[in-house]
This record gives sequence, structure tokens and C-alpha cells, in this order.
Amino acid sequence: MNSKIVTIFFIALSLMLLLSVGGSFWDGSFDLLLHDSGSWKFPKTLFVFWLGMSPSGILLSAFLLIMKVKIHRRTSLLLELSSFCSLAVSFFYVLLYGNSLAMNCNVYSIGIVGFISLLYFVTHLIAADSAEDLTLCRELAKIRRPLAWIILPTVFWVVSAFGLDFARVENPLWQGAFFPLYLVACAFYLGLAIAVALLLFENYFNRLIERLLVLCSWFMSLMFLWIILLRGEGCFTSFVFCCLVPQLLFIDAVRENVWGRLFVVMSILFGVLLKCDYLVNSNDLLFFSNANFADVSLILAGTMLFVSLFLGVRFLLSRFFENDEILIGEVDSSSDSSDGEVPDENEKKNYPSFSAPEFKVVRLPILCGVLAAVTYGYFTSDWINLAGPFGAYVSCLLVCLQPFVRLGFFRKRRGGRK
Amino acid sequence: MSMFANAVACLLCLFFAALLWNQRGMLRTALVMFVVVMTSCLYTSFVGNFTVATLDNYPFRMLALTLCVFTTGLRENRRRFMVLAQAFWLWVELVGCVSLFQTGAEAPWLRLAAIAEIGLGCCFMVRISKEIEFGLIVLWMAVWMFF
Repeated sequence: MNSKIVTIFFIALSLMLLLSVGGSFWDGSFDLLLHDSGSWKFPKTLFVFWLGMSPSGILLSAFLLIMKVKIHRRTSLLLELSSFCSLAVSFFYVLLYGNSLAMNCNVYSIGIVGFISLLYFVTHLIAADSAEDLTLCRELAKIRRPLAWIILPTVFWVVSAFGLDFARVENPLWQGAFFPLYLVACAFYLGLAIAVALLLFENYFNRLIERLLVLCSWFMSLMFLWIILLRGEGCFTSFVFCCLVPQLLFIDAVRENVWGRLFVVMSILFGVLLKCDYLVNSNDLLFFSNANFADVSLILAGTMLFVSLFLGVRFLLSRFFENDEILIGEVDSSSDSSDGEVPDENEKKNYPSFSAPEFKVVRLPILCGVLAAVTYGYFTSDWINLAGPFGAYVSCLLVCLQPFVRLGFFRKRRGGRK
Repeated sequence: MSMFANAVACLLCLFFAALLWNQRGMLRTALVMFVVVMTSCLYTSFVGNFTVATLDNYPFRMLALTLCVFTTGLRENRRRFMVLAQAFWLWVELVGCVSLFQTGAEAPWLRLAAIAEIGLGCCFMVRISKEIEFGLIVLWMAVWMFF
């Protein structure tokens, strides 16, 4: 852990929060912070931002695992943890500003994604814990990729449904087939940006993730231009912060400097925040023209909560994160052979259809999940919002039960032999 | 979009896939994919009429078709990536269909069903021979052109 950066960042955040709360007395916006009148739109912007960030870590971790891109175990654990912290921050805004956040949002599907992400995270933690029972670790490591196979489409489903619903109810400008694709791309981009930031706190960096971040910034630029072509308008300020500033990573001095990388990541996060504001208000410059200290306080309060939660849980679980490995400086994908997991010896084998080890783990749970989803859809007629996540929930539960059932049988048989 | 423009888009996708086959390494492949999306966006903007809602995701459909054709040339994990590419195409089409359905327009559900069926069929393949590769590409082109 890079305690110097963490301390400086934490103190700077605290001071800025104090200053902005003080400033809100000065400009008379303190009342907005205290009373949830329902007319203040900024909490909604922040809610959309943190809610959008919540699936990004888990999405990236699951995607890289499925694509067999090797990243360090610590990196993926940090990404997964950041997802829960973001979800907690968005929940914090709901608690404080429920009236201002009156929007159509399927709480159950978000809850299901949160739950299956938690299952994935806990499985990953225990599977990597060298102090635990080795047989259990091996069994849990076997279900990680099958879980990722279920989580990835579920997150795609939930984000798409949220995007379609948001466009239909909140802002018709975004109605169309393009918006859900855009949201998922944003989630990927946020995941990469947050990964670079979290690795900074850990005092190491991953070249592969940085390169992917730059590539993703190009794709985001294309999407931005596509919006301009389609709708004739777009958020230009967000384009500058989100897509142009990350090109600074081409400069050695910025790329090799901790503060340079932190600046780029902060710029991306701010750019996405501006994009969320544009989604809510449909006005490019409203964020700057209506800015007051209450807005700044609310941003900083959310960030403080995220950082505190993240670091708190990180320190609590440091045994799992650090394990028995020592990391100094750069970690590249090529050097990553020991990420604390059971190596997949059968990776190069060619299996007949439907007989790969992963598929054997996942086939019965998926079948049960599909049946559950169809039954749910048939009885409730809700095929778009909750049928898919409900099926995924059943599948994930069944996948997670498998190692324990297998271990139970194994131990019983061994006991019988004695 | 006219039938001719649609056919040219399909040919473009084949050309993009051929470009991707020649790349080595994830980053170079991603770089070419960026060029693919950019060209697809430009092509759609030149040829298409943006008042038609079905063109919203046209460049991403082109990307999906390119990826599907590209996976036939992979050496390792071909079935896995083939299914993944078709799942991506299915997702793009599904989102498009639902958004069209919400606005009250007619959605191409048949195309969705065709992609899902081919994707499911790919899961059953054990050894993918040259003939099957060719057959798959023809099937995808048929789905693109006629559904």
C-alpha cells in the first residue's frame, strides 16, 4: 500500500470537504444540503454516476477472466471491492435525498446484481486464501469462471434495461438502440479508470490496463461523435475531460508519474460525472453555470465515503489481498503466472461440445435458472426487467452450492471407508 | 438503408475481418477494431438516413458481424469466442429490437431468432472444419442481408 499517496489524498479530500461545506454557508446553498426539497437535481446526477460505477469493477473483472486475460489477483479483487463501495455510495444518496431521486429504477435487479457480485467476490477471496482448507480453495477456484459467465450477461442485461427505461421515462433524447451500448461502454471505461486509480494506492501499476484505458478512450470518442451525428448535440465538456485528457498518457512524463496518472484518472471520472449531469439535465454547461458549494460538498462527501469504505474494507481483508506475494513496481500481464489461483491444467485441451469442465459446472444451474426465469416471466409478465436477473440469481446460488455438496460427499465417503 | 448499401456493408465486414486476421496481439487487434468502428460509423453516416431509428446501432451491428467472421480464423478457443461474438451480436440486436418495440416501431424479431439459433448451433460443434467455417460465414451473411 502506498501510504504516502493515500494519506495525501485523504487529507486533501477532507480539507476540500470542510472548505466546501464552509463555502456553502457563504453562498447560501447550505439549505440545499440539509433539506431534501426534491427540486435540487444534482443528487440525481451523482446517484446515476455512482450507480453507473457500481457494476464497472465486477464487469471488468468478469470480462477479463472470461477472455482469459491474466491480471493479478489483487487487481481483480480491488475492482470487485470498488463495485460494492460504489453501490453503497449510491445507496447513501438514496437515503439522504430520496425525494430528489424520484426516478424509475429497478431496485430488485440492482440488488440481485449486487448479491451475485458478492458471491463472486467472496468465492474469489476464499479461493485465494492460502490459510484455508486447500481442498475447499481448489473447489471454489473451479467455480470462478462459471460464475463470471453468469455475471457478465446479467450485468449487460441490467444496465441495458436501466438505459432503456431511463431513456423512455426520464429523457426521450436518449431513446433508441444506441443508449444501452453507450452505457455499457461507459461502465467498461469507468472500470479501467478506477482500476488505474486503485492500483496507484497499492503502489504498483499495470501497463496492460493503462493501454486498454487509452484504447477505450478512443472508442468513447467515437461513441461521442456518433451521438453528435445521430442527435445533433452532445456534451463537449465531458468529451474534453473523458477523451482528450487521457491522451496525455502518451507523454512519458505523465505516464511514469504517479500524480500524472492520478490526474488523468480524476479527469476521466469528472468527465463521466459531467456526462451524467448531461443525461439528467440535457444541458452541457448547466453544471458550471449552476455550480455552488453545496454541489461540491455533495461530490466530495460521496468520494470521501467511497475512499473510507474502500480503504476500511481493504485493511480489514488485507490478509486476503496481500496473501503470500510481494509486489514491487510494475506488474505486467506476462509476469503474472502466480495469481494465487489453481492453475488450469486442462486449458489447452480440445473438448467435445458441452463437455468442458466449466460447462459441466454450469449446465444444470443454468437450466434451473432459465426455468426459474421463464416461470417468473410467465406469472408476472415482466420479461424485460427482472426475469433475466432472477434466473441468474438462481443459477449463481446453485453454482456456489456445488463445491460444498461435492466436499460433503467426499468427506462422507472418506469417513465411510475408515 | 437500401439493399445495395446493406450488401456493401456486409462486404466491408468481410474485409475488416480479413484485416483482423492479419493482426497479432490483443492491442493491435483492438487498434484495428477501433478503425473498424470508425469506418463503420463514417459509412453509416454517408449512406444512411438518420431519421430511421434502426440505424442507431448499425455500426455496432457491423462490428458484431466482423467479429463473428473474425472468430472463424482463430486458432485457439474458437468455439468459445464464436459463441461470445454471436452473443454480442444478439445483445446489440436485442437492445435494438426492444428500443424499437418501445417506440411502437416494427422490430426485426426474426433476425434475433436466427442469430440465437446459429449461436446455439455453434455450441454443439466439436471440430470446425473449413467447410463449416464457410457455411457459417454464408449463414451470417444471409441473416445480415435477408432478415
